[in-house]
Amino acid sequence: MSESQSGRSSKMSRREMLRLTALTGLGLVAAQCAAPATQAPQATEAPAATEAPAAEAPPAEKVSIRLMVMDYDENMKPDTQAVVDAFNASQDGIEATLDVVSWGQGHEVLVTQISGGQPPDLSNVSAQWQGEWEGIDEVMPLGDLLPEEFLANFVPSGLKAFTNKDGQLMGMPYFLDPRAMYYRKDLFEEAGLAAPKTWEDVIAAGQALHSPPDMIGTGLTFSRKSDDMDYWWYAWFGVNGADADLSIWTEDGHSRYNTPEAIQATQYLVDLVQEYQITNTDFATAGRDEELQPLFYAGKLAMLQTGSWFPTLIANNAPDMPYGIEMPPVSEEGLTPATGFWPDSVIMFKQTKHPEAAAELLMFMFSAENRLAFAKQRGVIPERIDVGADPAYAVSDVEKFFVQSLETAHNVYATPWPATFYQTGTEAETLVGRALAGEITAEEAMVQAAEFADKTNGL
Amino acid sequence: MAVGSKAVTTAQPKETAPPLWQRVSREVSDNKFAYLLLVPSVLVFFALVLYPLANTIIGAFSETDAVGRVTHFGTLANFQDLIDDSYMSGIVNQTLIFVFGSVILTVLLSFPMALVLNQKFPGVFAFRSLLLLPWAAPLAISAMTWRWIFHGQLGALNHLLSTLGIINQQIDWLSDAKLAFACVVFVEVWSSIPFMTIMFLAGLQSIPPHIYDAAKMDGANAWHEFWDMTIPQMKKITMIVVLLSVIWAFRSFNIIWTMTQGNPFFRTDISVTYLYKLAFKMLSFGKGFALAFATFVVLIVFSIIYTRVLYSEEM
Repeated sequence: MSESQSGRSSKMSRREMLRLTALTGLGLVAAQCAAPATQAPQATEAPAATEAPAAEAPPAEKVSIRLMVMDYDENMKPDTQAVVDAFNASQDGIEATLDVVSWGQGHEVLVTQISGGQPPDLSNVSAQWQGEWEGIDEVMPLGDLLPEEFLANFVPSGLKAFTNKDGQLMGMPYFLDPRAMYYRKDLFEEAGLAAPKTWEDVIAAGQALHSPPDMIGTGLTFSRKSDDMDYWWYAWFGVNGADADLSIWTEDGHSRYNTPEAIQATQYLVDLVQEYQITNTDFATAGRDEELQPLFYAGKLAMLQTGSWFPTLIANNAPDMPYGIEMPPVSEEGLTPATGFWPDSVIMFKQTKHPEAAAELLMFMFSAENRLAFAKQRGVIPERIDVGADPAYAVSDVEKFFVQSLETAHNVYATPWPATFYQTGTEAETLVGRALAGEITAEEAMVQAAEFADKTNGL
Repeated sequence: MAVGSKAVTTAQPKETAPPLWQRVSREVSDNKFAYLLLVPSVLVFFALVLYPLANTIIGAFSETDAVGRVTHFGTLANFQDLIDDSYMSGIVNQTLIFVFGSVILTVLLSFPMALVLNQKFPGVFAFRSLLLLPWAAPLAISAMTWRWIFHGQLGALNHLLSTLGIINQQIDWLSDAKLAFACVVFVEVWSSIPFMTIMFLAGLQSIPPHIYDAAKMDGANAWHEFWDMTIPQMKKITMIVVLLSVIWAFRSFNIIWTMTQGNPFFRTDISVTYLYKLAFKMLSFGKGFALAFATFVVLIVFSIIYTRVLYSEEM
C-alpha cells in the first residue's frame, strides 16, 4: 500500500544508502577528532595531590575505591582480598573493592582503563609501567598524601627508586626481589664441582653436567617474556662487581650498552651458547616463568639465575630437591658479587576521585603486619625496615641470604628512568638474542642497542 | 521495444525527486517496524565495528600518548615510521607467506579430504565427526598444546622422533626461525582444514547427481567427471571459502601469539601480532593504528577485487 503511494522515485537507492552511511561514518570520525582534546589530560592541569576532589561523596555515603592487583601466584587473590576485607571492616566511610588480573594481561587492562578514563584508584604495577604513565601525567604524587613518619619506615633505596627527578614520591615499593644463582647441589657434589661463584665455575659445571635433553647446564632467555634484559643484567653485574657503577645510563642520560663492560657481558652469554654449548637452545622463545623455572624443578636444569620468589616455587613443586644459592657469578675471582632487583610499585592514578581514601587503603596495605604477611606469603624481601628486622621474618637461611644480598644490590629502576624503556628494552633484548643466535656479533649488538636507546631518548 | 520505451518516457512528465531527507523520512515511516527491528543490530554495529574503526583511522593519522590517546590529529608520521621500521619488510613478507601459504595448503589438503568423505564407506560419519575436532577445540588451547608438542626438550614430537631413531639430537622447532614459521603455518592449516573440508563437502553434496548420470551416458570416465563436472561446480564455493580463509588468516592472532609471540626475533610475527606489539609492548600506539589501518585497507581492496572477479565470472 505505502509502496504504491510513495512511488519508485521516493525509495532510497543503494547508492543513496551508501552515501548516507558514509556521511554517518564521517560524522563519527569528526566526532572522534574532537574527542581527544578532552580525553588526554594536560600536564599543567593536574590537580594538586592534596586538593579536595570536587565530586567527593556526602559524608553519610561510603566512598568507593578500587584496587587492582596483578597476581604473583595463585594465592594472590585470596590473600589480597583478606587485606581488603580487613580494611573495609576498619572503615566507616570507605568501601574498597578488589580486581585481580594476571601479569600477562595487566598492562593491557590498565592501558585500556586509563585510556577509557576508568583506571582503578590504586594498583601494583611494574616500575616500567609507572615510568610510562608518569610520562603522561597519569600518576598521583604520594608525598603530600602519606605522612613522613609513615614513610620513615621504608628502605630508603626502595623509596628512591620511585622518586622522580623533581623529588616527588610517585609509587610505593611493593617488595624487593634480589636475584641469585640457584644450582643443583646434589649434582654438583656428585661431580665434585665448586659452587658457581665465577664465570669459570659456571662453564666448568655446565660442561660437566650439560647432557640434553635430560639435563641442561644453565638457563637463558631473551624472548621478552621475563623482566627486560634480566639475563643480560646478571652478566653485567658479573663483569662489574658491586664496587663499580652498575647503572646502564651515563649521567647525561646516554646508554652505556656500548661500553667494553657491556660488550664483555654479552660476549660471555654468546660464549655460553655458541662456544661451550651449555645452555637451553630455545633462549629466543623460552620464558623464565613459563619454561626455565619449571625445567629446574622438573630436574632438567642444573643452574638458573632467578629471583627471591623461587624458593617458594621449589618448595611447592619439588620439595625434596636439594639446591644451593649463590650470588650472581662474577667474571673473575676477587670481584665483589653484586645482585639487582626489579621492584614493583603500588601507584595511585591521578584520575582517582578520592585520593585521601585511596591513601588510607595504601597505608593499611603497607602496615608492618600486612607487609610481614605478604613477604612470608610471596617469599619476597620486605621493603619496610621494621619487617626486614622482624625476628618473625628472616628465620630461614634463604631469607637471611637475600636480606644480606641487599647490601650489594643494585636497583635496576634507579631514576632517572626513561619512559621509553619498553622500546629500548625490546630492541636491546632482540639484539642480544640475535648475537646469541650468531646472527650478529656481541659488539654489533651492543653498539646498535646503544644507538637505538639514545635515538629513542632524543639524544 | 526501443520505441515503446521511448514512448513511455516521453509520456510521463519529468518529476524532480524530493530531497534526500524527505525520502529518508518517508522510507522510515513506511517501514517503521522493520527499522525498529534493525535498531539493536545497528547499535551493536556502531559500537563494536564503526566506533573502533573510526578510532583506528583517527589514531593512524595522529600523534598518540603512551595509552593510545590522540594528542594531535593530522599527521602522516606514523606511516613514515612504519616505512622506516627495520622489521617492517620482514613482517610484510611473513604476513603474505603465512596467509597465502596456509590458505593454499589448506585448499590442497581439504579438497581431497572432502572428496573422500563424500564417498559412501563404513564409518564415514565417524570420520566426518572426527574431522570437526580441531575446529571444535578452542584455538588458544590447541595452540598451547602444539607449543608443548613442539617443545625442544620436553616435547612429544622430539620424543617420538628420537624413539623411532629418526633424530639423535633435539630439534628446536620453535626457536629456529624457519622451523618456527613452518610450525605456525602448520597449526594454522591444521585448524583451518575442518571448516574448509566441511564447506567443500557441502558443495560436493549440492551437485545434482543427474549431471554425473548424463555424463556417464555420454561415456565420460572418472577423470572427465572430476575435471569437467566437479571442478566447475565447485568453483564458486571454492572462491568464497578462499576469500573467507584469507581474511581469517590475516587476522590469525591466537595461534601465533600462543605458540611463539612472534619469536624468535619477530620472525614469526605477522601484521596483527606486530601491531599488537607496537601498541601494547612498544607503546607506539600511533604506529600500531597505522599498521591496523594499512592491513584493513589491504583486506578491503583484496576483497573488492576478489568479489568483482568472482561475480564477473558468473555473468
